[in-house]
Amino acid sequence: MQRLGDGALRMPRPKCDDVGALLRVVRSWPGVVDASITEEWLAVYFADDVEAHVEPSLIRSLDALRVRDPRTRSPSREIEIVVRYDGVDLEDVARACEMSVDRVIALHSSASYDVLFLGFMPGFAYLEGLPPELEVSRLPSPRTHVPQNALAIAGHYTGIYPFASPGGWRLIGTALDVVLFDSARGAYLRAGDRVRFRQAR
Amino acid sequence: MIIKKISGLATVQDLGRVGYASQGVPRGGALCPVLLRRANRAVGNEDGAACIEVFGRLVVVADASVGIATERGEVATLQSGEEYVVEPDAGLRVRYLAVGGGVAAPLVLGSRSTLVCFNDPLHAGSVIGAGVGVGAGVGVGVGVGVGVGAGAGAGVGVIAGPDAQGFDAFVSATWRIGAASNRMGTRLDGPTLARATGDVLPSSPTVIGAIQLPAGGSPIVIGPDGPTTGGYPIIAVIARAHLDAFHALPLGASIAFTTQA
Repeated sequence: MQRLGDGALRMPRPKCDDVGALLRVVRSWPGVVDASITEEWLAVYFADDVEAHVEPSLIRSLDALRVRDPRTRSPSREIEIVVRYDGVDLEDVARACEMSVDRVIALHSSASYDVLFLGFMPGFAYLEGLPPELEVSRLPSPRTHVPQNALAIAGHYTGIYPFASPGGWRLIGTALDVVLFDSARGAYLRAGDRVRFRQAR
Repeated sequence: MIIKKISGLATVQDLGRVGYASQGVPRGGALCPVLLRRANRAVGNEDGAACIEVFGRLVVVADASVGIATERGEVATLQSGEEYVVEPDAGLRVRYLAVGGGVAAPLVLGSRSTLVCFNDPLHAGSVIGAGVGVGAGVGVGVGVGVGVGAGAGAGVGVIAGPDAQGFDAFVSATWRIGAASNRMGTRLDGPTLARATGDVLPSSPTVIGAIQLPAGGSPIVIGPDGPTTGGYPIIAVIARAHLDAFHALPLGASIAFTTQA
């Protein structure tokens, strides 16, 4: 456990394939009002008037979640998102990966992705599963404007910008007919979901 | 009430939305919850009612009789057609205008706070409704906010961060609140801090008050609208009891940090 100030703690992300259950468990800990997860870390946030402390027995109890248990596991959703491969960086990506644009599209749309975590902005999901041939660096300096629903890649992730914003990922396309963040329902994608992209006809 | 003129930024803020960090949603809410509470109490609202948060100068005009108050405790009843000006305060970065019954704005995930990707800031012509009560936001207390205001920049308590490279150099330096600061983050102007080389860190959850050190060496303090995750080293975190005082410091104010265990 490491302190993030006096109101939050972080720990290595437990090796648990049921992220929904993991988040439910840590949010039920005494004094905890929120939790956040990344590829490497899990953080819990405490109410303002509560000392940031978790009993070691509770942390140990997470071990029980590490093994996939079909009786308690929330089923992972399979989600298909239709995309148009029209991103402004598509040709640069093809050049950097030493392949044709068609090959980039074929590789990206044939892979299956897991939502590892959400962060950066509301509804922005970090999807793991990018074919290694498509790994490219972020832009040296972020663009000031990335359009809403832009499909992008960076490092070993792919993702979709739920809102127009600045951003440093390489833009390869546009997600169609999907609302990634709804003010009533919250984020469309959740950690643990499985995602495939289908090229629009 | 109608917004007549804004020089700067004015948004609707309450105590924010707690419980959505794992969806990438920042807590949001007032930059200085203690000042929001003062304005609300002065007008007879609940502590967490939505107010107008003002960076700069705001002019409103009443379109009906309405009770208002500011974080100074100034209370007024405006008659229809009457103007009220929230002037910048040299000792405060931000001010709050409370309206009797609370400012009306759509509830998004339990809070009426403006988050720029959900809804636009207020602008000239915006109509401010009132009397909607407090959002359903959970679990956010209002800090004690010791010594908010001028002169409070001495000895803001910080706790060493988990990526504590450069912590000693950070704490021993004197900083100024940078002009490029906003609700996402407060820039600290001062010496350029050295980072350990080759430190591309995996993304980590952040927290309001976390002090990140980007590659350029100038620290950024995560604000209420800051990203929920980030890959910069977290070198220190401001103690909860000092967050209000820190965020109340006006741009350009001098600030020194003290180590807190």
